[in-house]
Amino acid sequence: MLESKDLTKVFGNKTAVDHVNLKLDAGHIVALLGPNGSGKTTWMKMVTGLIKPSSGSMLFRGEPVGLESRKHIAYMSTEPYFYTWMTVRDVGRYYEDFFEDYSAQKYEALLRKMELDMQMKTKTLSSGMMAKLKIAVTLARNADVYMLDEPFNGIDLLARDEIRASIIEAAGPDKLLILSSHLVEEMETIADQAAFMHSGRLVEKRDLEEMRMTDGVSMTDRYRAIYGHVEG
Amino acid sequence: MKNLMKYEFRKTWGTKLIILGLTVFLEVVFLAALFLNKEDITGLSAMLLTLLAIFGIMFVGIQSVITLHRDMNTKQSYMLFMTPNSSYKILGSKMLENGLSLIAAGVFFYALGFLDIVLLLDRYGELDQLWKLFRQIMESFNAELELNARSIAIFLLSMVSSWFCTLSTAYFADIVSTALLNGKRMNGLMSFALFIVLSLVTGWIQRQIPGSVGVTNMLLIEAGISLILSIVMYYFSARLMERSLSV
Repeated sequence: MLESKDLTKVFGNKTAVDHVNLKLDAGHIVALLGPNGSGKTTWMKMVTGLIKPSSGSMLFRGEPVGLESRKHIAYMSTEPYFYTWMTVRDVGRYYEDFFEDYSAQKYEALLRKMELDMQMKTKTLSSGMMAKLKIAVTLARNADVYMLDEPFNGIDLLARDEIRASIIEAAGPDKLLILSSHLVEEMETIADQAAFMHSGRLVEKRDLEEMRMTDGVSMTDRYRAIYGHVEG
Repeated sequence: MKNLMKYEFRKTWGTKLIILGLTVFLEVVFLAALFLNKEDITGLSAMLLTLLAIFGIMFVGIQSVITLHRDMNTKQSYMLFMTPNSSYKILGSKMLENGLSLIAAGVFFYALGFLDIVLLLDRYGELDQLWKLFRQIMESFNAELELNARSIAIFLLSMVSSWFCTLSTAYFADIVSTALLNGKRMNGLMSFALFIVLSLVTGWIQRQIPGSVGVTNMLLIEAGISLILSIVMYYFSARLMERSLSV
């Protein structure tokens, strides 16, 4: 469904994504892992077309990402990005105006779960509330690909359970979910595949069940093995 | 397109409301002073209304460029660029919304100005005297310029095309500098410098029209050149956005 071929992004003298070759298929929840600055966010933004590659290509169903792919890819950035004049209701209306796959009913149901009020102004939301709103409006789309960048950032334990449930609910045989997070143990309970990135490069992509069976290690163990010398 | 224009309008609605609120306040002061025969306050409020009309319209024009700059250089850019809309549509909606806002503001201020002048004349003078004075002033600028429907239409066309050219030049300058210097500190300054250079080039092209063609024809040719340059700059701006802009 998604394929990056030799994808590279250079900012000035820093290579954020370095010749990444990664193929992801529908029917999976993929954990995109790596320490800060490993290139996860830049890679995701190139999938959405927000960042243009320096070289290489990003394909969605065999075609370069662009206008058409944006209709099918739902992206949640880690930073708040709503217009400051918007209320929670306005955010929903905005998505309704631009995305054919958006469901107002689903949005309302997700907001109820997240205990968010339609009248709330986005500029007055706490970071936790903002994170919930971003997830609610992104998952309110019936997209083919969902990309959630740090979906658990700033969210308390109980709300995290709700979000995890909503993410799993969004998954399906014809859907691809890509999640990046520092909370590796949290991700282990959701994902069935993992892509490990380091210094802009893809270290490896693994099927988690197969990794447990053949190598006898969990995703968390593998994360420690790959990045332990870097972070520890 | 309709939705994009709706949100473009919504982004600039706050400033427009402030301009409208100030106008209403000054108009109330003007009318009260006129009714109470307070000539000094009438004069002052009329002058302030004129300044507000000039700077208000000017600011509505500039605000479109400020909004584009913000749309490309803050995280709010995701709202716009992750939607399935091409850069041609995004830029086009910005230009159209701004054009319609300027026309609405122009019509509003002209209508208000006309009403205020009629009220002033009703109290202090005759309407036809003002019309004569206006014609004399216009004719003193250029004897050839006649105040008829055709020349007014050409003058309006010239104004609209000149605005299109200025706006597309500003968009182009901002998009070039943002696409090439994304995230760099001098981005805003560079885009302003590029705008000045492009405006000088545009002005130079228009000055190549020989004066012998007459004022009306010159306005028509200038309008044609402005429209062609606007289309060229709009096309390359949108193309650059589509291919190279990272937000």
